[in-house]
Amino acid sequence: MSSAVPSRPKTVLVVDDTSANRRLYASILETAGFVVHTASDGEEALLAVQTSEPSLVLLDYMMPRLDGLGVLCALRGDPSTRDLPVVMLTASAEPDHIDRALDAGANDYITKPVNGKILVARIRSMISAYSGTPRDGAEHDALLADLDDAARVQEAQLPVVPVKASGWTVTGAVVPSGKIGGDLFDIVVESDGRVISFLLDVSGHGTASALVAAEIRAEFRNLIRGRSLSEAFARLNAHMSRRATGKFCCLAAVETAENKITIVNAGLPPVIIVRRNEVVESVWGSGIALGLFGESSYEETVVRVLPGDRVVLLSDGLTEPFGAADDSRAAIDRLALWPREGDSWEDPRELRSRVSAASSGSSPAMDDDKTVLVLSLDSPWIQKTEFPPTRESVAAAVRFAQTRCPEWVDRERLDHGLTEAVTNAIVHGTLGISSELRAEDTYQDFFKQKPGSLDDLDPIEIAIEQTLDTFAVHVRWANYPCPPSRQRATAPPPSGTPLLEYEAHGMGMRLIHSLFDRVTWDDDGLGLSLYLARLESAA
Amino acid sequence: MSLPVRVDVSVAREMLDVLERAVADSQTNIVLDLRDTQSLDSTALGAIVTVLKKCRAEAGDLVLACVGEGVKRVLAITRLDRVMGVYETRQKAVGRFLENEQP
Repeated sequence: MSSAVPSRPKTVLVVDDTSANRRLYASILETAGFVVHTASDGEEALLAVQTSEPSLVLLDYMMPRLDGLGVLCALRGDPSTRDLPVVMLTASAEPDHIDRALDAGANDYITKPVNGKILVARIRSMISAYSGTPRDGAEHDALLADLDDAARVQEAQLPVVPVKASGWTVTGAVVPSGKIGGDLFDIVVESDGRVISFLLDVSGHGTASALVAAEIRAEFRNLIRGRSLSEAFARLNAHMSRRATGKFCCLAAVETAENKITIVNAGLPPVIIVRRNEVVESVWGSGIALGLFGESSYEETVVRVLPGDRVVLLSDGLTEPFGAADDSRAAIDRLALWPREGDSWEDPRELRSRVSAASSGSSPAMDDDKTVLVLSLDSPWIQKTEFPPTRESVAAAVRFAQTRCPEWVDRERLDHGLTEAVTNAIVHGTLGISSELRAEDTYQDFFKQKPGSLDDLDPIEIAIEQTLDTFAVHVRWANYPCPPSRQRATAPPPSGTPLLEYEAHGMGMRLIHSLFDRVTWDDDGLGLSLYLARLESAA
Repeated sequence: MSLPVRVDVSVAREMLDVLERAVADSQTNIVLDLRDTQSLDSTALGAIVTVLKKCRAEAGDLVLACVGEGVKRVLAITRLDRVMGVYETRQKAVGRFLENEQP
């Protein structure tokens, strides 16, 4: 047990180029029990910081030689004075000056004329907050070792990313402001394929926040099973309110499905959905931050998504220090998270280094835990069909495509086209003798007639790709390329021919070319891509 | 009560002490003047809500006055602006209590 150490008077360095001001502030502070040193310009101030080792610097903004901003930058750039509290003091109430001072790391800003009581109260508060209780070396070392250990545990509790589930890739990174913090993220993959990714930020930072964050994570993982997001949020809120830890929690969760996501965001900066180079949706304020009031409800937002879309969740440590707590878009700029070819965003080390780099320009006084969680919908979806195909398996392939196609695609066209595409992929592509297939034959019957050709065939892959304006089905098989002569469409029947008669003209490329807006073949003749453009009425 | 430019963990504890003492002294109608305040961190928000709930438990209230753009954004994304009084001026904030006192 350490013995009580009597507190010594704290030293304040007053820096002002006007001697009357120096005398006034020194008088106020000495009366309040502080030891005061003074300096009359910036360069003198930097020397005085080294010699007098103040607990706080009261710093005038406008000064000759080196101004207050220059002194502040020098202090923040020196590891030995990086955390020294600085209160800027000036006659100017220019918002621009205030912004610059805070951005450069000022802890507070007071405009002249100053009320003596307010000056003393703020300086006392600032010194109290930034000075630790004196400890002997061994105790200090033990505490640091304990924190290092806690940091390792907290890091190990994060999921191993990237996680790939239900067509989504999810990754994330946490950079606490201290050794441990109150931010974390997690990904829950349930046995029925439901995937919930969430990011939480407990108020404050440090050990107490980390403890609360760990409890909330466990509780939310438990609550989310079998419940909607909104219900789980409401229950978690009630739970936190009962616990009365003095902390509250900002939490955002995203439930991902194949073509839509459900979002609840209680208190975090906007969750944004990025498509190419645009923010297409921004979700925030689904309900009050958790743990503040016992009875609250939470609203779910459902957003339809396309392959390649990216969903980004952020803690306010990545937005607020840069001036606007709700500016997620600017944070995406800083983190370079706009989708681009060959980007290594999935790599958690890369993401972590971007988070660290993104915060380097912020004010040290506003440093907070920083966390990002990124979800990306993979493209395309792929299903392997049974081989040799029965009518049922072809129908299943069509349904597979239909369930994933957007509302603006004509399903009848798709059905006809895809059925033909699958059969032609098999018949033209694998055996090249479609004319031998009789209408009454099942494909199974047909292949039974050619048993020798089946052994080296792999399942056919049906892949779906969707962009803003186009829906595409890709069909690909492993062997027996379709010769170029058979890839082209034959002449279409006369305009106005009923579809059934049209179909009766013959299975094959003619129908496929007429039903799809564009048909392309892979160079090797082993796959074709069928494109449907957005219907004009749906555009 | 007036608060500094940035109300963070360094100020929040003292603010909480002062406000809790006020509530203990039966001063349960409180206006926090944020004219100088550009940002509130989560610790400060937590402290404000703690005092707000204590005031309301005593049939009083805590409201915010002269709220700037930065603080407004924080209140909006946490939705605290839906559950507590936020006023453009100190006069309007004080007026909220005077209205309640009228017969």
